[in-house]
Parts: sequence; structure tokens; C-alpha cells
Amino acid sequence: MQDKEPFLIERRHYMFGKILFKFGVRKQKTRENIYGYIFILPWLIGLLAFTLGPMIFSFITSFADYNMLKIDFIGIGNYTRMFTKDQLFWKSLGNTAIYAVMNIPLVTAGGVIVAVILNKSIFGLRTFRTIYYLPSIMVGVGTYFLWMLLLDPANGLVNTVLGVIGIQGPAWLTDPNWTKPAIILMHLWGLGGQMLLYLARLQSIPQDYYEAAALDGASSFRQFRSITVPLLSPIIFYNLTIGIIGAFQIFQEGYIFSGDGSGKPAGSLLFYNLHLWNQAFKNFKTGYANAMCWFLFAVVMVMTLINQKLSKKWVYEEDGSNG
Amino acid sequence: MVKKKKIGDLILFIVLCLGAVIILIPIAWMVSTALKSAPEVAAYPPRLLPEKPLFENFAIAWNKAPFTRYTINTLIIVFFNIIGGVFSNSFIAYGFAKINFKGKAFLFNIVLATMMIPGFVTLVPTYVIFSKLHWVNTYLPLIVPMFFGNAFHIFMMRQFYRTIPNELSEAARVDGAGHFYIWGKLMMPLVKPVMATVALINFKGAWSDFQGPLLYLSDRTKYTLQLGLQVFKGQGFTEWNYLMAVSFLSMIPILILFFCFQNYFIQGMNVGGAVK
Amino acid sequence: MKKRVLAALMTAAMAASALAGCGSSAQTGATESAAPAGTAAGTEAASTQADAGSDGEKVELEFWAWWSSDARKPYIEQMVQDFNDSQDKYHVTYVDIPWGDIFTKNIAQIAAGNPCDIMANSLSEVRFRASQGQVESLDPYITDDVKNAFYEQYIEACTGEDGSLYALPISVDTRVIYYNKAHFEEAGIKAEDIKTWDDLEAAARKLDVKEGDKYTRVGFMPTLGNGGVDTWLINANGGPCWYTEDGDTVTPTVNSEVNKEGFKWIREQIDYYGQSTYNELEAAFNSGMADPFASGTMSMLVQTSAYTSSLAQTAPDLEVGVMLLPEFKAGNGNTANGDGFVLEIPKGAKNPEGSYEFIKFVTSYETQDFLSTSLGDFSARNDFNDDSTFFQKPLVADIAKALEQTSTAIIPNKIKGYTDVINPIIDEGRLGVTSTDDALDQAQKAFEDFIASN
Repeated sequence: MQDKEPFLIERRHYMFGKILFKFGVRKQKTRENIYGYIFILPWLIGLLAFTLGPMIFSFITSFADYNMLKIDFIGIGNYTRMFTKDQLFWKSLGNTAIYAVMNIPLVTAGGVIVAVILNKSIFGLRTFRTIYYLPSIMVGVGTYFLWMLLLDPANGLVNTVLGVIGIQGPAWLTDPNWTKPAIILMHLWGLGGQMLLYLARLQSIPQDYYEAAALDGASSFRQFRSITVPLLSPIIFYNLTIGIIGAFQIFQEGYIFSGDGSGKPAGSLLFYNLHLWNQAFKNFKTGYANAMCWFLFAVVMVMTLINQKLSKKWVYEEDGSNG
Repeated sequence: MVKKKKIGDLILFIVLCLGAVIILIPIAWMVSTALKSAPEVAAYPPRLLPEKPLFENFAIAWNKAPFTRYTINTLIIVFFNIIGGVFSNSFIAYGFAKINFKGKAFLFNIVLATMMIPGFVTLVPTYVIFSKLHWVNTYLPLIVPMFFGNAFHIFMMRQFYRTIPNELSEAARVDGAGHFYIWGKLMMPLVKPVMATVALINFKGAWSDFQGPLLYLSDRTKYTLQLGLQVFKGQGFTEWNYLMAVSFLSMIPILILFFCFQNYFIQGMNVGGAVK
Repeated sequence: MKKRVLAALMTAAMAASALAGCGSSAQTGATESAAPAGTAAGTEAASTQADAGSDGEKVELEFWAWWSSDARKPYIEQMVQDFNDSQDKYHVTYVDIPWGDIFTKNIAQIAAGNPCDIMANSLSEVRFRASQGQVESLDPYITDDVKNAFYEQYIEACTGEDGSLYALPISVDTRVIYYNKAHFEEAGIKAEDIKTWDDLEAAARKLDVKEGDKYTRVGFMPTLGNGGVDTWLINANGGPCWYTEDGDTVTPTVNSEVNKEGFKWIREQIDYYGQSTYNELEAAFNSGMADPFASGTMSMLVQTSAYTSSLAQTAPDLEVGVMLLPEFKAGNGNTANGDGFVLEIPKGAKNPEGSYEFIKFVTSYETQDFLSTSLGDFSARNDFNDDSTFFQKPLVADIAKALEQTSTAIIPNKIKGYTDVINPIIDEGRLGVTSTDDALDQAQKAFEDFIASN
């Protein structure tokens, strides 16, 4: 990058730069800084106005006996309570971790595979894409109840289909061992949203990459591995990060499927955030709930940063930079 | 060789069909529930099809509450959510993806951090803020924040911007173009599909949001569709057939939108072409 | 392109500000009307309101509850209308907000200092909410004639640890066993002959229908419908089953002999049909849609009084009767666990006198009679007798009998949340993951640890 300003492009496209120049901002670097902050300014304003305050507040009250109406500072009591006294803390964290470990890879891989298939030229492609996307439009509580019917052990369609191929289906939502797989099944059904992102990226991969590879005699699996996956990797990285964050925040499924929000059956649906919610809004130990929240925050942040570091090894970015 | 490919395509087609059937079954169940009478809904063992489909359920359900009004209300919120979401996120994400400024890495980590705090932890303090602003019982708490970007979408769009080779913007910079020009004139057309995706997600999000309207709206004339659905839920008894009927009807607009404009969402960012 | 973008942004900004304009004016209106008439709090809105009040304008009050269905809302609105017509100082508006979410919204509004004026809530947690400072005391307004019209145990439940009254009950509830009359007739069973748990079990065996190795009709499962393990153990104990309260000390009694025997009996009932039959039925009930009792797959079911209105929709032709929960052992009593709903004034409500007027109106004999007759709810008032119109309706007199033996569990504030800890362990016993004795022993230990760490 050079420091002189060639005015090759029409002047109106460089108005802002010119103004900066007039105000004495001569250095390219300073100008980039100013540009950067102008672009992220809306986000900064929103952060300061709506997000940061409540976040800081929840952090401060994590050191207090706080029930949403009164605050009584107690030091790190909430944090020590978490590790030493709360019998459900580890259970709920364990439930969440088990779910995350199963859910993230399955849904990510599922999304990529479906996207790759729906990127081929097949008869009825348009309709297929719509159908596969359809579940992700079906949000709202009604869907969860629908799934409770589908997962009915005796008459539900899932077990009926399994029965046809000779498998005796489990009791899903009433068997503590099968509640988490049931939720993952439901999420696999709704992976259309992820698929769409992959598809958007896949469409922009020039066909000649594949043609060249085919000429070199690369098998389609090899093509998938050495062309598709690298080019999809920024999006996979996005979905993985979102997936980690989302998996650790799972709440609604546990709340609805357990009927009364208790994490039934046998506490198998007591996810971390459900426990947190119960503390905050049922027992009004909101200060403690906030402490739980910030502990999880630390855990997820560390995992995200690790993911970011690791991503330098496998995420391929066109702009040369990584992560 | 050609034959083999054809067989492969056929197998693929069959697999896709099977998948489609599995995906459609829950939706079929939804429609069949909508067509049942109350005793048929409660029937155990459940029956897939109603004995006599009650198509009038759709009309009855729609008229149980002012759903037309609720739809208009929802559309107002959806409209601003889309406008706000598409422009703010693509703008902010460009800053994070393509401009090198001091503190970028740190600030981006804050973007990520804001995603990691579950919404209900900040629910009460946030409510207090909007209450102090006298925004309660207006659509503002549901609309205004959208104009300041959404962490998930900023992140998502940033990832897509980063798939666009830097030579493109650098060349323009060398030619003297400012970042506004590059964003508006060069990048926007390339990320159009992603913007459309953000629009779709925002549509869906605003269309199906329950917690937000519930918290901030009290005046019944301002209710949204999702709030309206509550009319079917009673103490210990829910009118599932009507609930499913309206849920299904409320899905149709998004469905049509997606079917008609899907090429737009996934036509691909023709980056290769732009570079050449 | 740029121009178009700019134009779009401008339009959006303009429209947003327009919305803000009309929005904030509407909000001002609402604050004004909600502000107090007499107690000028010094805010601008309040003084405006005081003026309005002296002009003879009515004070606006908001009443929140979750009754939103056709079966209830019209009557609630009728009741509100009757109140508005009965006096000219206050005007109440009914706002229905879904169950569950209503409590979140309520706490958010209390925190923001702008709550609704009258709020429906659960009876068993009045004391807890009072201790958390979420409710206004009714002491400044309550008079003895009002207070004495309710059964003592319900007034007790509405009293905080500080001895103040914080709510008045709008309706109370209990659990009974609903039975399918046709099935009983066919099997030659009379409800009045079922006196003990053993009788119940014997009756269930006569009602079962098995085809091959599958039950097509299930006589009775104790923990389905609205019954839980605790329902039966409370019945066996004749009161709270997990602990005893002696003054200030709470002693866990989870693994008492009674509980062990009772829980074992519950588990035997499930085992008789097999875990898979149980899972299937439980899943059906959990979905909230299918109802095996309504469709004749089950002959008996534990449910609350609200179930009658549900049955009216799902099985209008089904002939049902109700009976009390049988006695654990002869002479033990037919105790059932119950709860109820109250009306209370959220902390910081601007017009507590007005709110109280409304609460008093709703809990008066006439209104309670109207609500009972039209909604099928039971009143906590002690001046209802068998001659009232409500008692002439089917099943009502039978359910009322159960109310006389109902234990409303008020969990002491200091062990609030203990059920979170023991329920998952009890659940393992219910589901056969561990033996019932082990489950109770483990739960006892967990409960003791819970108390020790609090």
C-alpha cells in the first residue's frame, strides 16, 4: 500500500477520504482506523445502549444475594456455592456437555452433506431445497409438542418407521437415557438453516475447480475433501462456533419436554441453562444464577478461543489471513 | 460412465425423496391435527388421519382472535427487522472483515462474548432500560436494536466477506476508492445472497418471536401472531386443532417467499467472476 | 445503488421515529392512567393523574391472569365488567398473558417499578413471594369480616412469615380419581367399595383388558395424569411427606417406613403393567394432546377439578364419576394434595386501595358463586353450602368432599428449592432405574445435604 492518493476513481467515490484528508488525517493507517470505527459504530452504539449495561449489571450482581429487587453483596459466595454446595450444578453441566458433544458434530456434518447433495443438479431440486429448508421455518412451541407425538414410544411415527425396518424403538422422552438423542434427532430434522448457508457458499465455488480435479483423476470423495471442505471451512467454522455457543445455551427443549421445567425424567433434561433459569426465576436466587452464567461464559469463551486458534490450521480464507 | 452416473443420480433422487418424506411427516401431522375434532386430537392411540376432515377449523381458528390484525402488526415488526438487520449487519461486518483498525480483534471478541450470555440473564435489566425509555407497549424494543446489528449475523456476514479475495478491495483502494464505495458498490452485490439469508432469518425470527412481544406489549391491539396463538391455550386444556391450524397458516408466507426467491438466497456469490 | 440504499435507510429512520412518536405518546397515556389518584408520588405523571382524579375521572387498573381460552375468558371479562359497573371510582382492564411467561413479565415490571395492579398467582407460594418482597401487604385494607369468610388453612397460606396478609384466594383445587362409569359397570365395581389402596389395586385388576401380551385397557396407574409419587405419599402420611416441621427446624423424612411402603406399592403398580406400557401412557399424557383416559384406554385417573372442563371438550359423551383418593390403610384418611390461586397486589402498584377493592369484589360470595358456576372452580370461602347452584352441577359435591381433606403444601421459605434436588432421585425410583428404597435413601441424604448447605 502506498501513501499517495491517486484519484483514478471518480471523485464522488472518495468524498469521505477527502474530508479526512482536509482535516489533516494524512496517514493511511489513521484513516483506516477511522474508517473501521465508523463501520462498526452502529454496533458500538447498540452495545453501549442496550447490551453492555445489563451484562455488567449481571456480572456485578453475581457477587451478591440478589433476587431482582434487592441486592446484598456477599463476595464470591455464589461462586464457591456453585462448586461445593449445589448438588445439581455438575449434573446440569454434565448433561449439557454430553448433549453438546453429540449434537455439534452430527448437525454440522449433516448440514454439509445435505448441502453438497442439494448442490448437484437433480430433478426437482427447487422443491427439494424448499422441503429441506421447511423445518427451520417451523419454530415456536407447537413444533416441540408435535415432536412429542412423533416420539411417542408406541404410536409415534419415529418408532413406527423403526419398527418397519425391524428395530424396537426406545421410549425416547420418557427414558432418561434417550432424552438427549431425541432432541438431537429433532435438531437433525431442522438443519435446513445451516444447509442454506453452506449452499450459498457452495454455489460460489467455480465449477472448473472440480473439472480440473476430475481431469487429474481425483475421486469424488477426494474432490469433496480437498475442494469442497476447504472452501466451505469459513462457514463450517462459523457454524461450529455458533454450535458450541448454542449447545451450551440449550434451554427451551429441556423446559418444554420435561413438562414442568424440572428436567424430568430423572433430571436427564436438566441442562445448565434450565437449572440457571430455575434458580433465577423460580427460586429467585438471581445472584447465584448470574454467577452460574458467568462461569459458563468463561468456559464457552475458552472453548471459542481454542476453536479460533485451531481454526488457523484448517480454515481456508481467500484473503490469506486466517481465523 | 454415463450410465453409472445416471444410476447414481437415481439413487440420490430416491434418498432425497425418502428424506423429504421424513421431513414432511411432522408437517403432515400438523395439518391432520388441524383438521381433527377435539376428541380426535385426544384419541389414544392417536390416529394419523381424521375421520372427516374439518376444513372449517381453519376459518373458525382464524376468527377466534383478530388474527388479520395480528398479522399486520407482525408484518410491521418484520419489515423493520429486515431493513435494520440487512443494512446494519452488512455494514458492521464489512468493518470487521475488511478494514484493519486498532482494537479490531478485541472488539470482535466482544461481539462473540455478547452471544454467550443467555438472553434471560439480561432480560430484567434490559426490560428496565426500555421501561425507563418509555418504550414499553410500543414496537420500539422489538425494532430499534435491530438497527444496531446482531452479533450472530455480524459474525456470519464477516465470514462471508472473508471468502471474498482481498485483491478485489485492495485494487479498489489502490485506485483511490473509499471504504464506503467498496462496501456499497463492490461488496454488496457479491454478498447479496447472504444479505437475503439474513433477511430471511430476520423475517423468521421476528415472525415467530414470542418472548419479545410478550414482554413488551400489553395492549391487545398491538399483539403479534405468536401472542395471538395463546388464545387456544386454556388452563389444563389446549385447543390443539385450532392452534395447529393457525400455526400452519402462519408458516405459509415464509414458505412462499422461500420457494419463489430461493435462487436469490443461494445463487452464490459470484466471487470468481468478479476477480477475473 | 448507493442512493437507493440511502433512501431506504432514510425511510426506515423516518418510519422508526414516527413509530417512536406514537409509541411514546401511547405510553404516556398508560402511565398517566396507572398513576395514583390520591397518593401523588411527586412524578409528573402522578400529578397529572391527581388532577384527572379530582375531575371525577376513573382510575385505570390492570388485572393480569392467564385465562385466555373461550371457556374462561368471557366469564372473567364479565366479572371485570360487573366490577366496573358496581362502582365509579375505578376501571379495571383484564389482560391475559400465558401461564409461565406471565410471572417473568410480572417480575420484570416490578423491577422496573411499573407493575400491573392486580395479579393472579399460585396459592402455595404466596409466602415465598412475600419474603422476596414481590407483593404488597393487604393489612392496611383487610377487615375481619372479609378475612373470616375463608377457610383458615387458605388464609394461613396467604399469610407471610411476618404475619401480614398478602393475598386472597380466588379458587382452590384438589385431586380426586376420575373413573369411567361404563368400565366400572361392566366389571361390576362400585366406587364406594374402593376404600383403601388395596381395594384400588383389586379394582384395577378387574378393569384390565389384555390382548396377547399387550394391555388394551389399563385399570389404574398411580403416577399418571395429575398424580405424582408425592400425591400418594402425602395421602399415606396424611400431610407433607418429605419432611416434618417443628417450630423452626425442618427434618427430612424422605426414607421413612411409610414412604418406603407407599413408594414400593406405587412401583408395583407400574411393574404390573411393565415399564414399556407405563412409558407409552406417560408419553401420551406428556404430549398434552392425547388423553388415554378420555379415549377409554384407562379406566381411572388422578386429576384435579379443572379436568372436568377438559373432558367436556375431549370426551363430551363419556360418563365419568369421581372418588376420593383411597386410604393408605383403613382409617388413615383420604388426604389429597392441593393448591389454589390467589389475587395479590404486586410490589409498587400505584393504586393499592383500588386493587384491594377489586380483590374484595372478586372474592365476595356473589362473584365466587358466579365464577364457580361458570368455570367449575372451587371457592376457598367457608360460607358456601350444598344448596348453591354450583353444588347442583354433576361431580361438584363429590370433589368438594375431597377439598375437606386436602393438604395445601406450603414449603417453608428456608428449604425453598429442595424439590429440585430430590425429585430427580425420586424419579429414578419411579422409572425403575434404582430400587424405590435406594431412591428414598439417596433422596434423604440429598435433602439433608441441601439443608446443611443452605
